[in-house]
Amino acid sequence: MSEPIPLPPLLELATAQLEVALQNSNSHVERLAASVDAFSRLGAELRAHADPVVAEHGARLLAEALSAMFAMQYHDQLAQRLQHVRDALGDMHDALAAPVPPPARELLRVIRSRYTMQDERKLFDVVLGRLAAAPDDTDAEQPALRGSVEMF
Amino acid sequence: MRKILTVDDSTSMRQMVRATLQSAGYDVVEAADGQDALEFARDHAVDLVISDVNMPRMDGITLVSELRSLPAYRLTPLLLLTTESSQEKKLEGKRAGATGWIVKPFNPAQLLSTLNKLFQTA
Repeated sequence: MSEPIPLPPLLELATAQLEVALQNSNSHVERLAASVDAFSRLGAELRAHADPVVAEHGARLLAEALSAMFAMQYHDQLAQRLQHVRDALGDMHDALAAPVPPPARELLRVIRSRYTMQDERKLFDVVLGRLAAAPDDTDAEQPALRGSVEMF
Repeated sequence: MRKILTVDDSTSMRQMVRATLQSAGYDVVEAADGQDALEFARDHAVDLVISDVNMPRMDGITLVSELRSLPAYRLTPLLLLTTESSQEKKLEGKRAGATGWIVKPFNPAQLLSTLNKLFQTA
């Protein structure tokens, strides 16, 4: 008879691996953001230069830095998504290690409730919707909301 | 110079918001969560607050609610900047007293244009 797969320690390992990856990537992105920040400040300074050629270069440098900042925000979304995966793995570990595991629906409800992005909820519902009896709330969210500004 | 308080537990997001605002000449102060922001706001006046929603210690919606209870912040524009897109959360933000809701990733030019409009009407 083969040994059972040690699920709780494997889940603990996966959680720890994700945590290390997040910490490593965050420190590098913070460094990158600091550089882009420095470029944007330099661009803003040069844009005010008396020489119109220098001012034009400054304006272009600033525009490029702002464009880079927009793209870099996708790292923040990636980090949030990985944090939610890490937390879900932690929940599964705790459930498997508990003397009396929680009902599956409760576990799935907790995992889904942590999501902040519409596509996270949609993916969850596609894969686990029937098991989780998830609320049908994703249709109420408007599509293509990223970057939108709504004033109250 | 107008002073803006930005609140986010992500250092890189704070850096990006700060760089965007400073490029337009705003004075920027930062806080890493709602609790830090509230403590700062109690002792210092700012012209506008831009806050994330999901943060440790105190979330952005609670921060908005707490700020609105301070006389100095009754009319201050309070914007929430978040990946959160659910209508339910947005409604919570509106009820707490937020001025607007911006879904990340933010477009720097659009953010600056929004601030311009808010300051013109203020």
